[in-house]
Amino acid sequence: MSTRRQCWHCMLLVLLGGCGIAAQRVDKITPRDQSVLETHVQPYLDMACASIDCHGAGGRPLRLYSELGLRADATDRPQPISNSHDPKALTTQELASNCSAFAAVALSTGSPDHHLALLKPLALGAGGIHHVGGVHWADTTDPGYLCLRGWLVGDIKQDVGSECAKATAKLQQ
Amino acid sequence: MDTVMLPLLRACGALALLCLAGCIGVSPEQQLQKDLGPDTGPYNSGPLHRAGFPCTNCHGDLWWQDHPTFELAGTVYRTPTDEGGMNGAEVHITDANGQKITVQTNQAGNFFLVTSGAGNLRGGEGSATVTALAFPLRVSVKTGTGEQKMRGLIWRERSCANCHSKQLGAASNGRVFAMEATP
Ligand code: HEC
Ligand code: HEC
Repeated sequence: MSTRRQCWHCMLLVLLGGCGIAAQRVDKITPRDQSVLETHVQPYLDMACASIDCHGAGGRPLRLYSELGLRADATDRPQPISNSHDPKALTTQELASNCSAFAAVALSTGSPDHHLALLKPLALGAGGIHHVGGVHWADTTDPGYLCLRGWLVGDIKQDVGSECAKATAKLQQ
Repeated sequence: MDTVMLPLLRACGALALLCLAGCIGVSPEQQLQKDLGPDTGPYNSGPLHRAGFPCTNCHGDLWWQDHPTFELAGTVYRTPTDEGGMNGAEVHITDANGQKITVQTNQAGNFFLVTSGAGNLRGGEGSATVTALAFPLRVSVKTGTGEQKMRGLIWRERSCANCHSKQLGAASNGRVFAMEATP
């Protein structure tokens, strides 16, 4: 290959690389962003983790509030949820408490994948660890894993959104 | 010396006995049952008793060993505020393996699921025989006029009443009801 052609390739790569970085800067969320939690991650947590018999039980590690599960206060559920009554949205305090609950089970600040919330629901064969609540993800390509990981490490917003939507849809009636 | 020591020894002995009784008197499982309080319904023990109670706190692996344990059990009410349970409501359950179960509540509003190994229960109304359930479960309640669906999943709890206690609140959606309250 001529030097000139190689140079072209280099320039193209540099240009493309530049685009990538620029796009990422625009799109990346801050790790554990509270509004991304509310709109994208929380619906998945409601279905998969936060039921009153699991992480919605007081006293359990990673205790989570959710619209369909535990509320911080009885006044947050003024009437029974039913076909014609939707739950009240989570309060800012409830969301903040969920964020801190996740922060508290990080195993290392250096490597974001070393996080109990990512390792416990993951199959042992895929690098997970024992979880009383069972295996939720066969491997690290499961939308549920990608949803939670993306939010925890601060990934691209669009990807987090679409993985969370896929993971939630799998569990809804 | 005897006159001084004997009453002292007796007192110590009595104290030791009391302590022992305290220790072995109530197991955690018995305490759990005691905490539920007395049955307030009109029926004798059997399929109609203890409507609204978390059945598997007693008919579960923890404590109820010489009788069949229930796979799943609960009580359905017509509306959120009714005092008595609803007869003939259909409870629909789909487990993680796709097993679909329909069971009708009995006169007290109770239903319970047992596995085929469970043997004969006194009066089976409200019961259905199932293959051991795989969690999570999806549930709904149907009556002639409509269906109420639970939006979330049940991941491990076998008694509806442990999340559907009488009092609506931070950790309860109130009783399981088949119809909306009339305004
Ligand atoms: C506080 C503990 C407790 C609770 C809660 C409870 N039961 Fe029972 N249940 C008992 C006892 C004790 C018996 C009596 C066993 C006997 O007479 O041999 C019994 C008997 C029964 C029997 C007859 C069992 C047999 O072997 O024939 C059925 C059926 C039954 N209960 C259903 C229910 C249902 C349904 C619920 C929930 C709505 C419930 N129970 C809640 C303690 C309880
Ligand atoms: C782990 C806790 C939990 C358990 C166990 C549970 N539920 Fe629910 N259920 C809820 C919560 C919270 C709601 C309100 C939010 C929703 O729909 O998910 C609800 C709502 C419902 C509704 C819609 C409202 C109504 O009452 O009509 C039905 C029907 C229902 N549950 C039936 C059942 C039945 C039947 C059982 C037992 C087989 C059961 N549930 C066990 C937590 C639970």
